[in-house]
Amino acid sequence: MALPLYYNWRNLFVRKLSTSLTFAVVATLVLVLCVLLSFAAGIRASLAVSGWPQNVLVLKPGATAESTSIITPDEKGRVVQAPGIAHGADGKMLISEELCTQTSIPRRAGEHNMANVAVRGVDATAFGVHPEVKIIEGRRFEPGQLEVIVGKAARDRFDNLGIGGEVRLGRQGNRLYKVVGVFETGGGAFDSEIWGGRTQISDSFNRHFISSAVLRLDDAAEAAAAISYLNGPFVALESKRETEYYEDLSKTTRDIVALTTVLIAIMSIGAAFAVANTMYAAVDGRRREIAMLRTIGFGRGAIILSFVTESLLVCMTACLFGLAGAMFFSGTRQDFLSNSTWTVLAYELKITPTIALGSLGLACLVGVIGAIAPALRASRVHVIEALRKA
Amino acid sequence: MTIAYVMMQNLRRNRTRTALTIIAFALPMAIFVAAISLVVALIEINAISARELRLGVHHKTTLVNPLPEGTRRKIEALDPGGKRLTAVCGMRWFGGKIPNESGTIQSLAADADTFPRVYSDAELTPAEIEAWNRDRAAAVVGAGVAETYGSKYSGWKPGGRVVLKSTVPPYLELEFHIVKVMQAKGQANVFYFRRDYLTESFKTAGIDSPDCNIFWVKCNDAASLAALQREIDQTFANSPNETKSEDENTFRAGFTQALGNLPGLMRAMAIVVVVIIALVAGNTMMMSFRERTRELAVFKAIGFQSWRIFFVVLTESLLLALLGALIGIVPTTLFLLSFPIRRMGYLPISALTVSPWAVVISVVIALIVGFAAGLWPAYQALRLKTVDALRRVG
Repeated sequence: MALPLYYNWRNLFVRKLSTSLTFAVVATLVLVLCVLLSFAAGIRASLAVSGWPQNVLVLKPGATAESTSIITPDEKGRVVQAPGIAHGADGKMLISEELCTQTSIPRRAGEHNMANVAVRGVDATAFGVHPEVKIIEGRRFEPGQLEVIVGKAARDRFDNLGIGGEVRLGRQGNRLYKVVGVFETGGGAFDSEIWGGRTQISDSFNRHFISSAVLRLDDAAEAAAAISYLNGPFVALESKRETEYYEDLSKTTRDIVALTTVLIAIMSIGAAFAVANTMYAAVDGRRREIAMLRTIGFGRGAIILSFVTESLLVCMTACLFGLAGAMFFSGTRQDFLSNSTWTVLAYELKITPTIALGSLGLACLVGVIGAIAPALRASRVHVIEALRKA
Repeated sequence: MTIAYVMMQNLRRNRTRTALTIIAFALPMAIFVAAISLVVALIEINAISARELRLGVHHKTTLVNPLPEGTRRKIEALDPGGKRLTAVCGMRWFGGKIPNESGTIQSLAADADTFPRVYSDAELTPAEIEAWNRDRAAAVVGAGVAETYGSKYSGWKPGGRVVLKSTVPPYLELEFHIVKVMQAKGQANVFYFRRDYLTESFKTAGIDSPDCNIFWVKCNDAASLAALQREIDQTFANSPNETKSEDENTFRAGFTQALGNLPGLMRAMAIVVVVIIALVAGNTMMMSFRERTRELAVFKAIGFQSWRIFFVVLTESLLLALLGALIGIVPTTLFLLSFPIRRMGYLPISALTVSPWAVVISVVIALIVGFAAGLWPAYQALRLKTVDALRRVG
């Protein structure tokens, strides 16, 4: 026979102070955990290895990122002869010549807090090479016009990048571009960028060479052949699969995500001990009571179950409070500086159902582990002795 | 039987609980000491930078846009008498890396003549300055860089030769002669060499580009720094190369954003840790007091003064806190000392070294928590009505 839940419920209120302390520990833990997890998830999403396996990115040898690469027109001419390049609907080869540069934009209106945002000059072929780029609002920029489209994350994070907004670009920051569209790629670096017509961007920034070329092949299996041609002596450029490039870029940042995970793990273990401590004390102080329960016929299993339930009761309620606290942070927009490109990547702290469920799961786990040892001990109490003890 | 013996026995009485409390204390303290180390290190670096009174002047739009070399003379012309500024040092980003290694080293080409004066925190001795002036390929390197690569490659020590390949156009590969390993905290991850060497090498490669990314203006006092900051930006306003001047700390803060505001996260983490350990310690002390009420009453009954009982309860709490803190702090400190994080990369995380301050702060925080946790039970013990407590069953 199981002990009534009411017994546990009343018990929690008998030791108000110690219950509320356990409660506070678990609630704080859940709150921190949620924020850390959403922080890690946000960063991970902004680094999502976008790219396509059949896309090959071409850089100058020695350059670590697009922003520090320069490809001259005759080098570009040789790139065209790479094998296996796909053709678009209009019959043109799917080679996207891209110019990567940057500009500073205030994070909020009127603030002096500036962020270095990546600006990419592209031609119409870019949309064929990067089919994941989808306009979700407005339209594409017209070539030859001072118009740009912006990634969704950039629009949400930085000042005045909504449709109809204006942004100063160019080497002197004196060309006024109009935002005519917002695009989304489903996570990844592009979402934090500003895209404009390549000739316009090239002119405004006084940059005459492209930074990189992205080739879309008919088949991902042909990538190896194309890469060996491009890296070979005739072209002598450095090419990689697009997926590989983005993976390399996010290496350092992934270390941070790993560090966050370690912090979460240590905190959780610490909290498990805190909960175990409270439960242990709660059980230890109740030996006589437990002996009484045994005397009137409750089995060992029932007593273990009862203590675990009691602990779970505290942990789950605390978890709900912690989650409610974490929801305040949900939707906060942040950005961080990528140390490969020195431009910022914007991300959103979002408490997703996975994160919420994960924290709930952890709170339960901490509750069960914390209670099981003292519960086992409690069930082993020698009835006669415990009853006799004053 | 001494009081100390009683206290030791008290801790030993319920070993499981003592162990649980200590571990619940130690783990968060381990995080705390690391978090506070980072915060302390950043504060120290900021304080050093503020003392150095350097003003960074770069292109208004982005650091990537170079400024012409002549900017230096225009800045110097603002203070011909040298009353407000000591020297101006132009720098150009080289972004070198060791061929076939992945990490980019913060390497910059600096004006040879003014570098030793503008970077007095590099602490070049007269002999080293002479070597720097004599050898065009001379370079000074931060202790962090020297340590990271020194274990793998030879040459990363004074007198050694190293080769770096630039990651920015035209991707030159140059050989440098190291004249000094800088010990200054704020300069752990940098590599400076002479700009005339870079310009000359550019020329050999057929490029004439003597531009700089940033000019560091060493000022004589804080007031001059503030005034020059305004004047310099005014001087270049409405020119093709508008500037933005900021002091070294503000400049660096822009980069601290890298890695998703880690210092902010660490600060928040430190606060949460304190809250958690306070709750754990408070809980334990309440429990242990409650179950010992009768015993304390007996002590009183046989003649121990109230303040002594107060002292015993409080000290027990302090002892627990101290033990927990030490078990958390010592391994973390040893770990951070034997595996310096600065090998991992660049600011701000590379600043994470254990400073004595961080350890002191951690121990003090632990003691404060232990004190606060023991205060209420100890106060109750002080007030304890002997007769009532003795009569109570439970």
